[in-house]
Amino acid sequence: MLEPKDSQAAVEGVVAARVARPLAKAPTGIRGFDGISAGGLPRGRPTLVAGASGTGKTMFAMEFLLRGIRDFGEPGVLFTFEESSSDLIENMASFGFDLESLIAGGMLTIDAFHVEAAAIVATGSFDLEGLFLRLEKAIDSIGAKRIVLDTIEVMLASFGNDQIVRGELSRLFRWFKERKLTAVVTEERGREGSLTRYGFEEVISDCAILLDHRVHEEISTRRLRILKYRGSEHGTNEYPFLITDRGFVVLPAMGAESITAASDERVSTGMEQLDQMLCGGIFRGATLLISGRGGTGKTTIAAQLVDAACRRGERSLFISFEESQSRLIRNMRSVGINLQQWVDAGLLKIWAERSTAYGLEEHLGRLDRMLEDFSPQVAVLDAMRSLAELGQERNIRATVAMEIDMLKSRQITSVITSLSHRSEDESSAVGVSSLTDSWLLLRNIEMNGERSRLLFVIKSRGMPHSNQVREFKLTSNGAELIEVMIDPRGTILTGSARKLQLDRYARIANNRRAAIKRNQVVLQRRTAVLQAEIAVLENEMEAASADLEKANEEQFRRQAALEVDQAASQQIREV
Amino acid sequence: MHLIVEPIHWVLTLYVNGASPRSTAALVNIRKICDHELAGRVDLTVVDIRTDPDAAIRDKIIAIPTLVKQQPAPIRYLVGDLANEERVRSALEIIPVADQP
Repeated sequence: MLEPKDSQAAVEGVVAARVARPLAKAPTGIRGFDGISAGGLPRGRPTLVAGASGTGKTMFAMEFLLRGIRDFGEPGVLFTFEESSSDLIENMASFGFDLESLIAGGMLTIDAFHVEAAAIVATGSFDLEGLFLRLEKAIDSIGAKRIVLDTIEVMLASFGNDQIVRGELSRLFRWFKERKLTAVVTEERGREGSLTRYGFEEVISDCAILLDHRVHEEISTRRLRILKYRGSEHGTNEYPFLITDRGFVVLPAMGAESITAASDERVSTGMEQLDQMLCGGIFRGATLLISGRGGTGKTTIAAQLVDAACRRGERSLFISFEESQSRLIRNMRSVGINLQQWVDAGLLKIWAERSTAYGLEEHLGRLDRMLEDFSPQVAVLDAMRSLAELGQERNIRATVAMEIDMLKSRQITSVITSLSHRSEDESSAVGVSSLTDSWLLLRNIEMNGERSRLLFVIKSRGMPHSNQVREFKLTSNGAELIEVMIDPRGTILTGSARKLQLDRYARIANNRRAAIKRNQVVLQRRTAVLQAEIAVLENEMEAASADLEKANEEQFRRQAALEVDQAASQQIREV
Repeated sequence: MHLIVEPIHWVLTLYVNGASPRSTAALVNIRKICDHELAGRVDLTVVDIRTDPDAAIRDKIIAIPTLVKQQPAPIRYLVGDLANEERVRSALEIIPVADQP
């Protein structure tokens, strides 16, 4: 008997061997999916795609199959009990796939038929040799490399013997491996929270993917999760995905890779003073949130950033939920920002839509397509709907999070403006502030009957937190920031209060300058008088010292004469 | 007033896989019914999917053995080796001769 340790080691050895030889993968071509699955589905092996009805299983499977044919030249077979082939052909045509020509070209075989469950009577034991036969024929007819079995378990269940079906499904999955078919088997989720009807399909699959679709308050959220992937690394998060008119799109959520890939390059906001406050601008690919109530200048700051981007020759996308293109351009012209020139130059695309015009999912789909087609370097989402208005904070947050992910994954520098109606909304900032890299808050203050604007930097990645504040002015040359004035009582002064205070300071300064001047004159005069007095005294002193010197010289001369006389008389006596 | 009862006629097709045990069992079971209750009122065709795969594909056959009742309508797919006689009779809508008026 193996000791637990040994069996552990044996397991690790197997894992190591698997890791050492990378698994061959079959790319799905589904946008976003091949990234999170490190290359696609396990080649030559079965994958289970499970989810409730309407979650997008068939769409995923069909894209895997059709992109496999179109983009990777691998013929494919579709086997389904769900739809008739004419429905399916029509359905996929709306996503841009011409199934009829693929079939005519010998690249695709569809085996689709439906038998009413009521027409089936279970009478005893059986096997699925008929199914194997069909599949074999279909596969051999075109040399298929890929195969999709779409929700076949629903029909198999009507055969009345789960045990046989289990055995036959195992045989089928082994058969796929023997024939080296990359297979996708979709299944409805089983009852009581189990992943599949028979509860073991995920065990015999090499890869298992779960799709989930929640609709809450008319906002639909789709999520994809890779539950298992034998012998391969894979992302383990729930990834949001969309079904757009171009098919299945898995949105890469923020992973470790995207954090390390964050750029150190700074992008100018188009306002020198704001760049200084942000230590040189915002990071490329970062998201700047501007929140504030209506009329605080959010759109202007966003437009100024776009203007600066276009000046650098970067493509910009301006999504306005509030205003039409012509109104936006006119309003920005009044503050000296000429957006029309950039539209004309093809550098700026303005996408104006009422946010209520589409469902949020469709909105995300349109955004994705816009990003795909226009590939902007800078994007503005102007006035995300007010939370107070919608009352569904969690879902708006999820949607905005998805938008931010979509922008970040493309390294698009983005600005999201958030309209808040009440002051408490300003500071909660839609609950999305944690998803953004920098956050500016604009606030109108009223003082002495006039309105002024203040700009606060609440947070900015890559710089220490500081509640820096500037007065923010809209001039005919765009927005401009001024150092704020704070009076001795600690009140911020703006507008005319600021002007009054400046005047007051100027007056005080003038008075002081005058006083200094006066004192200087007085000092000069005093100096002159004193200097005159000094001159007189110096003259007196010179005169006095001249007299004294003269008297002293006389005394020295007399003393010398006396000494000469004394010496002469001494000589006479000795002689 | 006389009810004119059209004589009911059964059209059945049994899909088998060679002489596998289940296929053989199904064949034995349906033969028994055809030779007794349905004697003279049934056309039974046996299709071996090994020799005639296209028929199985055309007729939407997944499980083997499957007995298809084409007539009388509605069409029924009897999946399995027909071991459950009760179900087979009910699915084929066989009224025992003795019970007929």
